[in-house]
Amino acid sequence: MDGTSANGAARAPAEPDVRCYEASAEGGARWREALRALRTRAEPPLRDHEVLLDSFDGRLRASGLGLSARGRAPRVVCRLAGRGTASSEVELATVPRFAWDFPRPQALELAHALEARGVEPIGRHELALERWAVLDDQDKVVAWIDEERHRVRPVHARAREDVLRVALRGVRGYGGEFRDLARALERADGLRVAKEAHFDPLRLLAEPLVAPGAWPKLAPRSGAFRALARIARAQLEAFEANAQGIRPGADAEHLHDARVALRRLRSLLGQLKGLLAAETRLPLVDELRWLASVLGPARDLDTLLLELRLAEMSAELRPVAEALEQDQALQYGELRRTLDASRCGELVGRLRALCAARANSELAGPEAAFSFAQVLARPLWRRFRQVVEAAARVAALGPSAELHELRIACKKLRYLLECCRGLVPRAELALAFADLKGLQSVLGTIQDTRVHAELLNTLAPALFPRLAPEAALALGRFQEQTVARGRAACAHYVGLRDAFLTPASRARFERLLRALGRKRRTR
Amino acid sequence: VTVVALTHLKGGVGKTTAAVHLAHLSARAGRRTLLWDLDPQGAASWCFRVRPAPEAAPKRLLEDHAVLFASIRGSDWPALDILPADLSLQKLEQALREHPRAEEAFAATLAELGRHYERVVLDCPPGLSPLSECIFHDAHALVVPTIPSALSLRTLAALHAHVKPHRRRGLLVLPFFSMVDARKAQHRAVRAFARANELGFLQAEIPLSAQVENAAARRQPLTVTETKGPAAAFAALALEIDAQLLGRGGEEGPKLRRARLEELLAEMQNRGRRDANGSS
Repeated sequence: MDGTSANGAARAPAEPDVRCYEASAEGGARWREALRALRTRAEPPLRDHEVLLDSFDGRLRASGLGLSARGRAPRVVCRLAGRGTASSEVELATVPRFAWDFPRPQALELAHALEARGVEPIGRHELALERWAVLDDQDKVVAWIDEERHRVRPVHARAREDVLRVALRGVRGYGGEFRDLARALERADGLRVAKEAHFDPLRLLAEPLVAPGAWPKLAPRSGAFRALARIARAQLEAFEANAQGIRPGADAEHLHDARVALRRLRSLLGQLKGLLAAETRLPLVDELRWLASVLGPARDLDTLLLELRLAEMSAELRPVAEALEQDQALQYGELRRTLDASRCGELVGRLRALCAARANSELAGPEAAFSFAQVLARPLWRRFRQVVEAAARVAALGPSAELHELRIACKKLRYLLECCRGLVPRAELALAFADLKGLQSVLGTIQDTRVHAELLNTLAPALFPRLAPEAALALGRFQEQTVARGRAACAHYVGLRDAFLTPASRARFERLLRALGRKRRTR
Repeated sequence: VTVVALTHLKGGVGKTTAAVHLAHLSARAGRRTLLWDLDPQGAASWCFRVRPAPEAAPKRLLEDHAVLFASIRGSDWPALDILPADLSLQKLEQALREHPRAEEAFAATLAELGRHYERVVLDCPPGLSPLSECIFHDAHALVVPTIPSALSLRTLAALHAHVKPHRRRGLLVLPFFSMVDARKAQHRAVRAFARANELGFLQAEIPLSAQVENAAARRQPLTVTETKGPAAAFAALALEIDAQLLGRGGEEGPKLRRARLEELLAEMQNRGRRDANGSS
């Protein structure tokens, strides 16, 4: 509804106007001189505060979302605001920690940004509000003027300078009075029209902490060995930071991020063979594979639990999730033992040595002195061709092993593409990522649903006797839905694969190679 | 949307006072509420300090919804809007008189308002007119303030008989005692009879009170600042009406028994005659 009928007539009562102003730092409260000329009635002042929430690495802010909570248990009001969309409020019993603590629509929106990452306080937003009713000659309120003083206190930093805003809020049917008042306020000293209708406290917070493991800045002429060492350092930092998060076991995303860091490092060590001496590289790759294999089963259980918590019938599936949480706790206990074991410590020590090594050290391989762009080009093209050939060969309903192989090849290609950051034009790289992303995503869904289906088949015999009939039925329905989701992804796969196999996609990769300085032989 | 009309054939029974308070209480309960002042005296509008908008054109209210919406003005409370009135509202009566399908047009206007409001409170003028016929046709409930006196009861009985066809389609008729003065013997006797014979009045009663009159003089509902006394009586009345509208009253709810009401009137008439004979 746009509020007008077909013949243009208004089909709704006019919404009251709102206009917001920001007081300049030097202007302070000088605007109140304009207020004195008006017939007003002061209302009781109001003070309020809310806690701003985000994941430690700022995933919500990165996704354009803002989450805050005010009040205390058992009545915590959470406000979720999106970029350019109206905010929604939800009442919860406690301060939320995860996406699934919210009702379904908000849970899905948050899960898209957070996945299984938890949220924590990142700051506090305090509001002191003074309000005046603007009266006409009958003492009828024709508008409201709010003076809002916002203070934002980041958790680990000093409070930011106060922001003073003035909001003029109209009353329905008093548009003329509103316009006169707006003109008066615009003439007032020290006020300027605010760009945003609502104050966004997040904009006063510092940028999210750079997550450990941020990708290093590489240049086209970066030395290959140093580049690899810097990438390895970033991955090691990511692993170590997330290993700290794995130990309490509250936030499943730590395990995911730790695994991705290890996998990325292993993949690059395997693909960029000439940069490290074989006697250094092979044992490292073996140990990284061992650690990944230890972390894998717990991650499968984490993703299954995430699906169960966000499923439509999550309430009925709650006993299933609780039963699996017991298994999860055992798995995390095993993980902690592995992370504390000397074998893991030794691996970390060897990786540290690699990060600190120089291109002329004994760890370096025959291509260590080349430029990184030069070294990347050949494996990138080889991997691209492997993916193209495999994708052309593998049908949607092919054996799961073949689809899995294709998915792994895609991941390896992606890791090589990530290494091109800073070495090739950003737009070209973004298009190449986009081509690959669709295919990777659908292969991921196919693989996840197959793993979940297998996991459920394995766990179901032990679970069913522990479940009430409703939960058992819900579990059966969830199994069916998992298989159906996999089938739907298979149907989707063909289209995405064909999009990846287009000549345009191939041309994009060729342009990347040219940007890396490699002249491809034409066949 | 639920449309509640404060009506009575008789004037000066407390319709406007009740409409103002019921509308305020409805908005305070969180409902988007519109108080439509349908009385050209404009007393409800005056109580909220609202004058008709310059764009208001009562004659075109029913045919042009742009005029309807442009005529609505906000009160001092965010959930409560007013469609104010002044003497020019007589033109609406005239428009209804000339309209070939007045009831349908009025129903369409209420339906349009119902898209934006959860509760529409109509403050009706006294008497019978094309406008009151439209209201009987389209309202969900007629809330009838009744002074516990012979004249008021007689008019209530007449109104009850008049709206019989509308009662059949589900119109609720909810009388309540208004301007009750416990010092008056007749008020006491009527209320006692009504309660004893379950005549169908709502339980809540609005006392005759200087507080209520002062609130009107201050041009602000009593329920803004007070919670006790007459303010509590209005709150109880609002709750009772809500319960009736939700069907919570069910079979137990009040149902005006006109035959018994007429018996009461006859008895009051006889008593009057006896008193007159005794004194002579």
